Amino acid sequence: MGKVDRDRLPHHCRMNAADTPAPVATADSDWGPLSALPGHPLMWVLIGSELAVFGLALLGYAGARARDPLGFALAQDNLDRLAGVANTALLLASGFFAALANRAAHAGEAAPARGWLAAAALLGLGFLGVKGFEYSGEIAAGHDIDSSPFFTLYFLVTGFHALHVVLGLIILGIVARLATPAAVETGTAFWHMVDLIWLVVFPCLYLMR
Amino acid sequence: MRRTFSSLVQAFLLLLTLSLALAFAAEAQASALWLAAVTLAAALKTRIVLARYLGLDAAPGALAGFFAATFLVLALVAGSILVFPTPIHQARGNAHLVATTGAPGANE
Repeated sequence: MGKVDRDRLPHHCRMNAADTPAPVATADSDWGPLSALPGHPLMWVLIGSELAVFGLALLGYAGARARDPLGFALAQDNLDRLAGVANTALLLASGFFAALANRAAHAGEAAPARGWLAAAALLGLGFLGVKGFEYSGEIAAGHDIDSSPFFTLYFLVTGFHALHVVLGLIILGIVARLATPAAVETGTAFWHMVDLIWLVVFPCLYLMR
Repeated sequence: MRRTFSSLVQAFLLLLTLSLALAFAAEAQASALWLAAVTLAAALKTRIVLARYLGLDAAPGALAGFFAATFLVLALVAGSILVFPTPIHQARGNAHLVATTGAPGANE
């Protein structure tokens, strides 16, 4: 093909390297073993990183508890287990709705997908409401982030998780607007990760004693 | 891999049942059996979320890896409690003191 004078082409044909869409990683090309996973590979990098961060935090909790088992047991008795169970149920139901949203999006049903995402987000807000209620009760009882090693770790771990819930709500809002199968799959994967982390955090902080 | 509605409902009900069962048993005496039950139930729940909701049953190697990581954390926390158990009688005495005088560790 001979050389083309760009200036003589119609405007919409004058693309250069900067106009060219970035190559999209395909499922079986650029991501190695991550290519085999469902959804966007970067989301799995994020999920792995977050699990590692929370895993290390919980191992730190176990190490701190080993130095003062009695102090941790007495502090742990002040937690509201019922609120923790309610929050577990809220996140599980929210994850269920997110899974239904993903299913609807892949069936090409954008409106139902948005509805399920809204339901998932609503329950996520409920989680934050219960957590706020729980925090206010604990702080009113004199248990703040400085009151004991247990409560320092408790507020750090659950507070960091609550931040992920807030981020997850924003992501659910964005993917509900897009409502494409790929966007919903990636967004709901983040939400399931938030759910997964709570399923590890809750028994370690509230139930194991 | 797309899920059927019934498989999603089944996963949700199983997760909810396990959570509620643990909640009802939460007042049970702290023991090795209790720790094992909590660890296994939590591990099973994480496996359900990984396999059914995150779709890792289509990638068995990744499912095994992620599940092993979460199980390891749960098992290490539970194991540390077994190695460094709460002195139950002392805890009960202190809890009574806290309730009556508001002074934890007053009997030490």
